[in-house]
Amino acid sequence: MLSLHSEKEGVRLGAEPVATRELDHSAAIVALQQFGKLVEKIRDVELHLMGGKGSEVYIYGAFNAGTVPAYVTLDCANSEGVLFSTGNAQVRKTVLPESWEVLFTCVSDSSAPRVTLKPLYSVSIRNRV
Amino acid sequence: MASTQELVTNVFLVIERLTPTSYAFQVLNSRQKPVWASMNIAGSMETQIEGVEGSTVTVHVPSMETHLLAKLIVTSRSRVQHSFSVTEKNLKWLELELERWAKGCREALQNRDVDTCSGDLFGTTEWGHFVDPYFMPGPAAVTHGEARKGLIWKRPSEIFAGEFKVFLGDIEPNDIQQGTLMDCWLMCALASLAERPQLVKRLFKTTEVSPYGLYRVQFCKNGEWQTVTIDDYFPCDGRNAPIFSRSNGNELWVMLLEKAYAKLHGDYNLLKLGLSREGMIDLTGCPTLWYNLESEEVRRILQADLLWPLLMQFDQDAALIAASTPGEDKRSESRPQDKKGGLVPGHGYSIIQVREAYGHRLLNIRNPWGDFEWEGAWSDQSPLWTGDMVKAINPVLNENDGMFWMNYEDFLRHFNGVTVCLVKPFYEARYKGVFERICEGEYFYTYSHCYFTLKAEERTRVYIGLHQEDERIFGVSAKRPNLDLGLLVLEQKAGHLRCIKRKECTTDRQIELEIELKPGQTYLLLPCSSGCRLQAPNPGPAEPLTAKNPQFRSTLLDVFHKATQQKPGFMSFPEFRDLLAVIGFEIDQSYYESCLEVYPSSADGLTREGFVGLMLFKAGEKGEVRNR
Repeated sequence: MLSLHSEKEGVRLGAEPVATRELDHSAAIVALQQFGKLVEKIRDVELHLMGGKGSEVYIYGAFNAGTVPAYVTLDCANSEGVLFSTGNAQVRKTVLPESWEVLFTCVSDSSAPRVTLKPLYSVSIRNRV
Repeated sequence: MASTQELVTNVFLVIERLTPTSYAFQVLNSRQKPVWASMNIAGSMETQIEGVEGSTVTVHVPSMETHLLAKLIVTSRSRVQHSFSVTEKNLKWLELELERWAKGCREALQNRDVDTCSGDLFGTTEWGHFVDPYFMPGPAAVTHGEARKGLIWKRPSEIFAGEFKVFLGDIEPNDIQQGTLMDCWLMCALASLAERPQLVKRLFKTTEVSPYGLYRVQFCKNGEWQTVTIDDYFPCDGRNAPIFSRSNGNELWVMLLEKAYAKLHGDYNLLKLGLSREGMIDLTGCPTLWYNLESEEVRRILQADLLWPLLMQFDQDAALIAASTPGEDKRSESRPQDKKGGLVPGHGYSIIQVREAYGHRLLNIRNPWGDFEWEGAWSDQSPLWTGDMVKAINPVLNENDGMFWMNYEDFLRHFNGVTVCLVKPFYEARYKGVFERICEGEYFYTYSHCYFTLKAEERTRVYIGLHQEDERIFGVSAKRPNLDLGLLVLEQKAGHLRCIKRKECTTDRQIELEIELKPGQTYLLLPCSSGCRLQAPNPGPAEPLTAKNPQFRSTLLDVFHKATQQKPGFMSFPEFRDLLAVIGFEIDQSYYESCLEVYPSSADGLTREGFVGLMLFKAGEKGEVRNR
């Protein structure tokens, strides 16, 4: 439920249905660009992380500054007490040149005895066919 | 000198004059079975049963034992009228009788909506009043867990001596007397509300005593206003005293509100331990800010000395302010008898005033217990209260009313959180949304089913909240714990999105964000969640979920909530049809209307209870229902 409280009248709230996750994806990339920080760079592919100390939700994204598609792997299988949005602790995605890709969101599990996030980042470049 | 009379066969009353102003009434039970003996002194003048506020008292007398029934206190001007009754009917019998009456009320409700029906519907029943079939007075209403022994459910006429009202005179924080439930967080929020009586009154749809014992209260739960209908049976001890929160006088509003809130969650026990912030949101529906005094963010505010002027401003704006102490509240259930005061760990307090005079920063704080006050600097007996300070602040001192003064430095030392509820004449809008988790390829993604647009005609400050089903409600956390929630405020310029404000994803019941809108600018609001907690539980043997399992009802309520988009609380024909289509059933309008005739409903459609009743019936027809 979304609630809105306005101190003045004349505020219009509209709701627009969303059929795909496209807007969510675009918005996550915008947020990564504005608030994320570069944590690692392999070849021309940057790994960005949004969510710092004290956060319970971390979003990983990759930006390919190169000219050829990159094959990105982020493996967090060695982490403890962390839940992954994709349903899997390992994600492999193709990032097109000059493009961003959200890799996954992970959430610390408050019920877990220990929380450690251990990301393993690797990139392979696909040769042009 | 004692006198003895036989009340009924083999049960004797022994009256002994203890002093010129007190008499002991004892019951001797010579039967082979235990009995319940009651004494009623209604109509007496200047007469009191010691330790009992009402006019009746009931005791359980085991076989072949003598028990004190009452100690009567009289004066030279007393006129005593008393009557006695003895029954072998035990608590179990009373429970069964209430169960029968509740069943009768369910039948009387038939296809009516319990939240809108008239109370006189129950006036013609054999028992003449409403007994809530959806929150039956009994052990399950107190706790779904181990039953608390020795509780008797009593109506106000049995609890209070003389006349009682829903509101007796003005509403004041000191009306509230917290019971043994450890719901100080709720009582603290309520005490803050009581500073503004109109805020309390607007929660009550029933403001006068109902002759049929039917009352309605509303709460803003899970982000939407909901009406809760209750009967007027309250859990009491053997002396007819309510065991949970109550008013100090002969008024019902505290007991009614606590009971309705307990029904909303599933039982009284589910109200144990909480945050005043959550109580304030549920009681006002207004934006609420929380300052965690131990967080880095607030420490920065404190270092810059910005919290004090903020508190002063909130107080001037008549915001509701509460504060909490660190630790665990182990004292509400059994108040410490050995101490008269001090701060209680893990406890919620209301901040009544924020004042500054002669360089002293002081806060007026109230313990919802109505006693047990701070005894340090600036407390009631403190020598720091000079004539000038008394003149400047005008404090109420020397009363053991739970209200005390404390300086800001001590406050920061002893409290760990401040809640501020912004109660203003807001323009308010609410919209129900849904997160969907989908699988694309080998990965899952979660996204909001809609985004929101926001546009203001003039520069305006707005507060945006995102609320989810409270995991305090019975069955919710077992189905799905709180999701992490986040909110992005975006603007689109030259075809590009830009995030102008965000609330980072947090696992909480609700999140809130404040933003100043520029005139004419269109903003996009996008709720987000990682969806991690929407994942199916680890594969394993499915637990059978039978129709009798309370979890089944909770799941049905969840389904109802998600399927009703048009009007909260009612399921229309298209919603009902579409829901059943998902599970492979095709129905037409005439089938829906036949359901409305049999199950609780209104002109707006099938009610929550109607839907649950219908589904429980269908589940019963199909046999055991299994989790998939």
